[in-house]
Amino acid sequence: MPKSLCHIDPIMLSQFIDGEVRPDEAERIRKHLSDCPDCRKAVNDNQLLSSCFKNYINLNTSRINPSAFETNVLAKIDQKNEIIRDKIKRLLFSKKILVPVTAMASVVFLLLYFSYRFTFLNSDGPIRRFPVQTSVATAPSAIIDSFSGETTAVMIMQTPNSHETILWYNEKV
Amino acid sequence: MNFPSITVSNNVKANKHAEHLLVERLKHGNEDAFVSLIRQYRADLVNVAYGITSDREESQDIVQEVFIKVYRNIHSFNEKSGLRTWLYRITVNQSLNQLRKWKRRFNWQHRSLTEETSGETINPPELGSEKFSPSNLYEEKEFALRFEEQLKALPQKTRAVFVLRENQGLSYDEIARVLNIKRGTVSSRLYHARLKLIKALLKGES
Repeated sequence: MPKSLCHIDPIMLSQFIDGEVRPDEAERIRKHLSDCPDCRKAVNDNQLLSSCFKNYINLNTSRINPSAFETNVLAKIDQKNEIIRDKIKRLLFSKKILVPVTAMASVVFLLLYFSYRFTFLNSDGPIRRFPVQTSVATAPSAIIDSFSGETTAVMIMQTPNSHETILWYNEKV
Repeated sequence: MNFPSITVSNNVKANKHAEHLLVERLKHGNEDAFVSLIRQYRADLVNVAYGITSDREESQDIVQEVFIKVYRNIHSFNEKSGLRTWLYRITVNQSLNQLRKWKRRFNWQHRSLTEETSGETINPPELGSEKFSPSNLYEEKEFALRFEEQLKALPQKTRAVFVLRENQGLSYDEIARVLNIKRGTVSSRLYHARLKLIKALLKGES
């Protein structure tokens, strides 16, 4: 950049080299360059630097084999896809996943089984199923069904508006 | 005569449309589209990576990783910024990350000129002289080494700005978009990069 005390801002001169100044400023700098050898040298130095840099890059990267590069990228993608598939497989069939899933499934099964037994089975006699209420209740809080055995009595009711089922259970002592 | 500007604007539109089609094909997992993406951008991206890392093997690896990232994340590309800008951004980030990684492990290997020239100090040719033409300069290994050393001595982010401008010819606004910095920062980094490189290259003259 120019060492002399000319009125051109060196940053603006750098912008001028890159074609990043307004047209009127560019015109002013062009006029100035014809009178200022320091600024002219600065512009020339920058252009040479630019050429040097381009040569430096091109000289070093032009030796790269494009088809080998392409093959490598595609191979790496295949390899990574394979690794991901393997990881998923290993994760799914690893003890870390299999054991807890099996345990959870067993717990859920047992819970369902016992709740079914407690709700629907009568321990004293043969299995008695409640009649399934499908019709819509019309009357206020109605008893849908009731029955009693030797030791227990059960009453099924339904609320009038929300049609929620209420189970009443009594054990005879 | 308005014809040239109309042609330029039509070309820009055609390029954008072609780019959009390419992105759509990539999003559908089309392998041919991916190969054509590699063919279209490989050289430019390797140049950018090399300008930042100054290492050929490293820059090849970086750009390979860039393409793999693009393949995996093309669905997240919303086309707000152009495909080219997006690719440059990934390449610069990947290159800077790679440098940071290496810097943590080792420091840059500084090759002094005297090491390779058995004690002799080599003065670079005078700027502006006939010998200082790009083709002549690169026949001189010592000068190339000196140039590389000065380039490596630049801050990494400055090097990124310098390569995008000097090698890829991006405008200040485009560089600002790629690096997510202000236009003024682009201008000042470029100015300081040039100042340092020219000063360093002139050092041998005095």
